[in-house]
Amino acid sequence: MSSDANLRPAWGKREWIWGGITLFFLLIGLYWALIGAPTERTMGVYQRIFYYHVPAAMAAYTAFALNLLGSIAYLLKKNKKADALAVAGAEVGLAFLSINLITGPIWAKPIWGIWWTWDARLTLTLIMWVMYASYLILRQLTPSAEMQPRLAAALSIFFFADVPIDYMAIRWWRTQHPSPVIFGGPNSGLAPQMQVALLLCMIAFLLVMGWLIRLRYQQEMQRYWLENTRRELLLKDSGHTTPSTARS
Amino acid sequence: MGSVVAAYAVAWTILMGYLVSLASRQRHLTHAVETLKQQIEEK
Repeated sequence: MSSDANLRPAWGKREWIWGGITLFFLLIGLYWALIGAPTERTMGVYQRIFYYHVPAAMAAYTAFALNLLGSIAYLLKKNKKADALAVAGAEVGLAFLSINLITGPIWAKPIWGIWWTWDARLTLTLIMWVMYASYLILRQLTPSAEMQPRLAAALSIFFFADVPIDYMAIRWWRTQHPSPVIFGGPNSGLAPQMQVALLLCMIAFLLVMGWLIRLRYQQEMQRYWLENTRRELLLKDSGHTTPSTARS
Repeated sequence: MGSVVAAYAVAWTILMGYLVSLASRQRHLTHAVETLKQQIEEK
């Protein structure tokens, strides 16, 4: 029978502690973003959207990097844990990228006068969203238990190429999207209080991202245990035995 | 200020919505695991 090690409760003591710390950082970050940081001179109050818009993108990039790591590890070792990390990374990353893609136009409308433009950064981010959404849809639609993670892993390596290009887009091409304020060269930078707000929101979003990936990863391992155990029971009932398709 | 509130509300709604969907999936999974364990014990 499949190992019960995959049946670790998804919401254990550690997850509650992690959740509590995350909530603390989210609330303190919210305070600094809305009240603690000074109002920017040219964009006014609308610039405060920046404190959620940028950390959401960073959290999405990190989650997609974990998806890439999990995918490479799966292709090399055929390990179910690696595949579970890949699924969790893609799903959580997509949630954060959705925040980034929705907060962007809300910020753009009062500043640029338009919701959307086919600027390099915006277009690449939208393409990234479509690619990772299709990755998750593909995982649902591919029937073979062995073929599905392998195909998804191969695709995810290809999809990740968009992440560094998207990050560098505002450095390589000067279009509608503002130039970077962090690691953006000699003319970039933020006021110290703005840096505090950004850093706190960044920590909060990365904590949420890690927490959600952990919860989703544990769910995926439980789902795997269920599928494998059901299959083994069926085979046992019919008098057959077969090796597992992936190592757990 | 309306745009700022809308942007922050969107972020919290997506995160909370995802968390609720995880909790719901977890309920189903836990139920399925318990049922299967019971089936194994009965055999």
